[in-house]
Amino acid sequence: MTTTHSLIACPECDTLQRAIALPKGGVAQCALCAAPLYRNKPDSVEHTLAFFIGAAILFVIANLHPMLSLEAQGLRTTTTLLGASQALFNHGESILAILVFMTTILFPGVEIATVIYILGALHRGHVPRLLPLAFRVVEAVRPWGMIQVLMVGTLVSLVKLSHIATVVPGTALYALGGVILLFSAAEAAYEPRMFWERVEELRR
Amino acid sequence: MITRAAQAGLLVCRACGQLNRPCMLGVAREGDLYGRKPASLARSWAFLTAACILYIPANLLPVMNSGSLFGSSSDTIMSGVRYLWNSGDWGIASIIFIASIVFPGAKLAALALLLSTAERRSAWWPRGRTRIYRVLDVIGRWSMTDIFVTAIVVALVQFRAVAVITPGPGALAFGAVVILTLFASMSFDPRLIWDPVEAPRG
Repeated sequence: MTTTHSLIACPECDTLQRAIALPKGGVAQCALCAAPLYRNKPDSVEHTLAFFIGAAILFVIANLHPMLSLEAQGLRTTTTLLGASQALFNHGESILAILVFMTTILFPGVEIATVIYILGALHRGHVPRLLPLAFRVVEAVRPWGMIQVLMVGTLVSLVKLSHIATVVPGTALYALGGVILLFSAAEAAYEPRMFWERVEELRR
Repeated sequence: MITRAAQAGLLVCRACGQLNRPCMLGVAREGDLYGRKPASLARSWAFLTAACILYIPANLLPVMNSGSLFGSSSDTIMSGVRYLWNSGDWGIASIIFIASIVFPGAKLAALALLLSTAERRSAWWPRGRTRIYRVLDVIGRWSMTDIFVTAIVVALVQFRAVAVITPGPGALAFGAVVILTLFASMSFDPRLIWDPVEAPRG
């Protein structure tokens, strides 16, 4: 890791402080408000990429297979991930349908694809041409991916409906759980400072 | 001596955190370097006010309508919680209660606190207020739980002759409250908390 003794400003309290070199695995905290500033994690780019590729595979599975089935009085219904938004749409709640679609399918999908584009390029040894745009896209989309909340919501519905019928989780539900775990792993592995150092190295 | 970037006249690149120049790759464009989020308080107040107004129909109007051979019923968020509790689903009732009633209310109150103290340039307990801000960012999205529950339940219970569940008007209002409070906390610049705080001496 290159040692940089540049000035940085704490993102939360704006205090100026010097960025110092850290031992491997070390964490730097703001001197004033203790906000985490950066870490030294050399394989950050590769680890994050690996987790996102796994998430991509599982996310495709989660969209193609059924999520839940309900059986009552000899009748059976089933729904996919997309089916949740469709159901809202069919009952006249177009705005909520679009909201659910965006937060559970569109934005997570866009985030996965864009991150793989960026990190894949860095891993292969070149700076992606559309980096500025891609970076903005990820930043914009990330707060709006809510598949973890969807998971909790699904489990709650599972319990709610189990009173009146038999509810069976489908492949997609397990795949979604996997995506969530991989997202968490990727978030833990990602370190902005390592990312920008790699970009700077590749530019030379 | 502790100095803050704004005091030193330095701006921060929003994308990569460098000081005083647009990101090396032009990830940040000219207008992206700024000392503070532009019009932070005004935008936050606007979103917060709208959220407070919609909070009333979100809780008073039903979010789910259930119809079956045995009759029909409409559930608001609170009545849904009560039904779950009475059915013995204490865990689930608590989850929904916390996610759909406690969190949104707490968010509105916390945002009002952050915005009014920042407006009055109060120096009261900056570390605590920063912690509150960080917590807001985390809990905001979890209020969407009930929206997803409604979507899934509606998608599954479609036995037209036997039982049907449909979304109620309260659901849209509730979704709007969640989204608006998310926008409100995203517009707020936490550095405003620290601006009025005197730099300690020495």
